[in-house]
Amino acid sequence: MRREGIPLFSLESKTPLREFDFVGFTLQYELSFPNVLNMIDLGGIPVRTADRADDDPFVIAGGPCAYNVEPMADFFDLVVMGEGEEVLGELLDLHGAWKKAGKGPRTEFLARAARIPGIYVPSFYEVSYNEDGTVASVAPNRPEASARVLKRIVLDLDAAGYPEDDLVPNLETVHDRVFLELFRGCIRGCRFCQAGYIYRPVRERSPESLRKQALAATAATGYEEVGLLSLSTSDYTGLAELTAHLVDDLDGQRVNLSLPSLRVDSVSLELMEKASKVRKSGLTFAPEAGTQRLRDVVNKGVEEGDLMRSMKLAFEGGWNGAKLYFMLGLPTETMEDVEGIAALAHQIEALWRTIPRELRLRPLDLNISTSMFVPKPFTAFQWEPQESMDGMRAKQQHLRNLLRSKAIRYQWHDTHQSFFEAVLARGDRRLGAVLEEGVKRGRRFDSWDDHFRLDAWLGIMAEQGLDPAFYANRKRPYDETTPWDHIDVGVERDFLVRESRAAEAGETTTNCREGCAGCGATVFGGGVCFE
Amino acid sequence: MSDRPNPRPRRPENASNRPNMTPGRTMRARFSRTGATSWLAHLDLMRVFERTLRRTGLPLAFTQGFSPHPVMTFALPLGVGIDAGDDVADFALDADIAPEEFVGKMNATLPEGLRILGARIAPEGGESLMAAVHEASYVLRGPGVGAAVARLPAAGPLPVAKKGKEGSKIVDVRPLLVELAAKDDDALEALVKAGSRENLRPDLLLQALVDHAGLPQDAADDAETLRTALYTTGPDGARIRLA
Ligand code: SF4
Repeated sequence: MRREGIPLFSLESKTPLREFDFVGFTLQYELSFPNVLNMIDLGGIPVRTADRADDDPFVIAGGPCAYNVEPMADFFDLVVMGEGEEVLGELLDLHGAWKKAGKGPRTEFLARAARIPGIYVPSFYEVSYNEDGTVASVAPNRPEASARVLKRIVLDLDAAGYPEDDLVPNLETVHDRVFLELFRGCIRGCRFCQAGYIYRPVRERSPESLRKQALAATAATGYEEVGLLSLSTSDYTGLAELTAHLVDDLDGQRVNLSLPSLRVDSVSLELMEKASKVRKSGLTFAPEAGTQRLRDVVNKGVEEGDLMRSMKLAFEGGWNGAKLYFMLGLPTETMEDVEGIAALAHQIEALWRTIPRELRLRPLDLNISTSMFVPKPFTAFQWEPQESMDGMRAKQQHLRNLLRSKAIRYQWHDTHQSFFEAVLARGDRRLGAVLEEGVKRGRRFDSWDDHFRLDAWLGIMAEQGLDPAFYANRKRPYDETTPWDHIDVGVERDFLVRESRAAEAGETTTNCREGCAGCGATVFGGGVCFE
Repeated sequence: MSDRPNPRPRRPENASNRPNMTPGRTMRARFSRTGATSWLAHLDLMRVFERTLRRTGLPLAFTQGFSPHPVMTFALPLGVGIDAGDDVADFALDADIAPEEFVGKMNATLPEGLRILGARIAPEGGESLMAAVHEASYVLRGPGVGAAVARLPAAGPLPVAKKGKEGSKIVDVRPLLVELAAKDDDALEALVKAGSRENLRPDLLLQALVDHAGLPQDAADDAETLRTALYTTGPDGARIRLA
């Protein structure tokens, strides 16, 4: 595109990006940052906000990685914290009025936008650093910018509406179906899980409105499949009511209901049987850690007994395998915990042999998958060091040696990518120049492991005098100012400290429905906290 | 996913001989495609029609099984990049619908580039739509494409390499070519054998012009291809336009 002088353009109207009023990015994954920069540049827009002229578009962002957007702070005019339904409307109204009044300097507009709750204008904040490289302070440099930006959420999801007449692509794409969003947030509070904290509190949609939405959306789009969306479908209180009707409704329209992975019990197995008629979809489990001790540390409420009971039910129900997800490098993990993963796998193998022969129509197929723990902001583990790459590789190797059975397949995730993900996840504004330089040197598609080159990134960091271990592998003290301290997701820092200490002590915390743990999300005045 | 006893067919199957393809209720429609939709592969085109049919709210007949699809048959698959001037497809319905209603609802719902030109109730019995196709006419356009026709040897074999899944094999274009004429220097009209027994893909005809009439490869690769019509053979051997 650069060679031919074609600017990056929109899919539907083929309009070059630079001709839009706004260009928005959803930041889902840290390793997509270089691609975002490349897209801004391909769109003919100056990459740095400071270099943009008054008639350039406003480049904005949202999504989970927006909560610590600091490595990308130099490139976004404004960032929306939290859910967009209401904020975007307010922002567009403001822009419409500003345009009508004949526009003006872009900082003028940004100053007004900064007064909308939930909108963060990075250039209105000054970051200073201590001699040891840690952040000293992040302070507003304009009166319109508030000292802390609290994320926005929508309390009544039924009233929030949902696009029913979605665009239908002419080609097969990923997520090529109607989605029903069951609820936002998660009651569970796994201590490594950023999504579990940043989307608090849990708010559900009602089964009636979801059912209506499913019928309207399939009629408007012609999609032949409906999927359910949430962080933990089994925790949806209306699941039984919803599916009881939905399966029949959709069957009448010859539309399939595809179920995400559910907590396996007799109810969900029956449901899976009903929804998919003859087809059996794959089962997935996420014990995350190999021993009960470590599962308590991370507050993953899965017990070995539960897992074995579920597997037994599944085997008796005709399944011949499952996929189990684990993390390596969790805080306090030892080789014993790693061996626990293999022990669990072998126990499942032994269980399989106790199942009557006539139910074992095909050989056992057990899939063990490990990813690397990446400490994330706004979690109980935000102060934790990531384990060194050598340490993680040794654990992978050990596990490979232990999982030699024919019935078990072991898949692991690249340590290089997880390491750079850890650098960016808790990074500060100094990483912006690193990202910009990387893109200049042709780095992109870093989330594809065949395109990712850690040595190139580390080289640039070294040139700029930055130490990756400072970001990824350092135990941070509780009282250190983090690069994201001026952002407020509603979960209090004191709560995260309490959770961090509980993890150290191996103590678990109740989920929101068993008993409120007092995380601070009551500030939003709704959701599960007030059920 | 290893634990699927019945792998689901990924795509709607061509279903001309399904039991629920009720003859009297099958709509035979003529359609055209241009613009961006011409770049859809055959399976994607079928998916676009499937979703359009579902959006119209018309009473559709579906395939059996746990992943039901509307029953439809395309006379001859359209290759990627080929415009259609007047192609034909059958759509099975579950109730009696007037052809005008079918055409109106489809055209109100189809994406830009696809149009239904007309429809009628398909004749009962007889051979399937796919088996009925014997010939197809094309207009190929590109710099020098028309002028190359005169340079093509008047008789004798025209071998070209046809690339397939298992390597390439040599095909003689000559017996598949029924009529060939230049429209102007930059365009030609061709009538070729088409269908499940004998079929000449337009890109092979262009390749024959490259290999045997000195057409530059670029001109062949970038040529615009329009399929203007499909033909069947009447009882008396006459050529009849499929519609
Ligand atoms: S305040 Fe209590 S109930 Fe609400 S999200 Fe936090 S822990 Fe859960």
